[in-house]
Amino acid sequence: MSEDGALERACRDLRARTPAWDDLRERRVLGRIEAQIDVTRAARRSIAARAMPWVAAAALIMLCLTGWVLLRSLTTPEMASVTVADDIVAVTPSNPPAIPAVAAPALVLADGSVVSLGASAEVNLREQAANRIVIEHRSGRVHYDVRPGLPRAFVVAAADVEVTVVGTAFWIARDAGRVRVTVEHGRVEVARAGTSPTVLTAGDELELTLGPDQAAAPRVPAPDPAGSSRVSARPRRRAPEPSATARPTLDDLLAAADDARARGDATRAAALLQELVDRFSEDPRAYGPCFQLGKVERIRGRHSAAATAFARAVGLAPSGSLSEDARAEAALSWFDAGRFDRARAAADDYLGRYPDGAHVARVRRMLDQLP
Amino acid sequence: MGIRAAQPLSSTPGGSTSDADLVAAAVGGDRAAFRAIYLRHARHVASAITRWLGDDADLDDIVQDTFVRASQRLASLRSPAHVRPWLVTIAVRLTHSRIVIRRRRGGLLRAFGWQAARISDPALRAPADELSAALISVPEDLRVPWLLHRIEGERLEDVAASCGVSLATVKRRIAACERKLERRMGGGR
Repeated sequence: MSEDGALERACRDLRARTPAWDDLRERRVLGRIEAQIDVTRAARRSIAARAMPWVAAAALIMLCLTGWVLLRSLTTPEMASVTVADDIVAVTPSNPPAIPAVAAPALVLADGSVVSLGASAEVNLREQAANRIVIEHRSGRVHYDVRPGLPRAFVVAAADVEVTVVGTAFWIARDAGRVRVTVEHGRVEVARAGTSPTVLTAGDELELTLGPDQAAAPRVPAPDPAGSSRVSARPRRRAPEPSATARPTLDDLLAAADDARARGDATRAAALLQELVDRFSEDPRAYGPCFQLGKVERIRGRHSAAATAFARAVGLAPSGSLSEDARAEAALSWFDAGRFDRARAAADDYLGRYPDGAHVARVRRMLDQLP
Repeated sequence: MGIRAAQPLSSTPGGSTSDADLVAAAVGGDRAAFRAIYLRHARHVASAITRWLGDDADLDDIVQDTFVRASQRLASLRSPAHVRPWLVTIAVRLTHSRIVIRRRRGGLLRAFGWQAARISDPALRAPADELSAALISVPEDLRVPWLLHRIEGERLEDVAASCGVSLATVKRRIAACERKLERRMGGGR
């Protein structure tokens, strides 16, 4: 017999072996099936019946919670924007919001600028006129979104630190002994009495240490603006200069550079920033200082070095938050350095990447001036 | 003990009513319709399970689970006229799970043993036993489609649906199983 024949015969044999599935077994299994179906259906009905009150209760609770949240959003003062027309007001959130980003109280000024207060922050709208707005930043972290293009001065005073704004968005955080200014976009001038102003632009952050008498602002706004404008000419606490023996860390160098910038010592600041960028070129934190180095070099009139620093910043983080600014500044710096070929290339690169960018007008003006 | 002749409850359960009509009635809660479906197809399902398992120790449980699960999912059956392959699909999955459990327990060692005990004619015993012994050594993914097609007579399309694979894969697996069986049975002669 062939193998195929054996297999076929075995198949026929196997097919012939009907399993012992007789009438009795068929009925027995059917009985078990119907019983189990009945039990399953009864169990489902029972579960549904037991779950119904809980589902109803859960739905009721959800309804109540939703109503409470809606009601709270309509009535809670922390959630509402406050429009101030003429009067001097102080806005202090009584209850720190659980989610500051959502529940932060906002002060909407008459010119459309928005002052968003963080938890336990306090500001005092000292002056609001057509040509001048002055806000006293008393404590906490506050975001200022200043409407640009209006013919008025916008000044924020935090102790003896005065921030003059053209049109920008920035943060000011004030605690017991320090004021920190962080610029999101635009340009501000930070000044203390008796010192020359420091210009901050997008990505800049400046931290200033307050004198002992400025550390804590009074809780009640002073009625006399002059009284609250007392200034301390003391410079901020100087960061320790990197010692000659121990190699300073990145943080040491950055603190010392900030201190030098606050003092107006651009040369020292540039040296410290250059050292930081050279030594920590692999560190992602070198990105911001590299950009700052470009700006310091611009202040010093070393435009070629500034352009190099800006280009280096772009190289460190091509898609970083300062990338657009760095590319534009690099183009403008190359122009000021007389390197017109590089200026044109950098400008074309910027315009290609950011056709609607914030610096398009400046870059185009620069291109128009190219020989 | 000889092979017992099957004695169905009725020769044509459900009369001349089509599978599709029975399914529609069962979905609507007609208990008699579901019973007719069971009586019409339980034997086929039991046969497939038995040949795959190699014994009927778990047969009742698997048939029961197959039809209980079918009763719960009958409304989702897209093609009510093809209720038999659908039932086999459920049975295949349940049997597979049972085999996995058995494997863990070493239960397959005694697989296929029942058939030899039920064969009364010694002349018929050898080929079937040899095939059973060869089948046990064939991987499950090859054995199941082969059994469903060659022994149970399922259409290839239905086997593919039951096994959850494509028609081409089923054909390939059946052919592979066939080759293995021929090789083993040939070597055993």
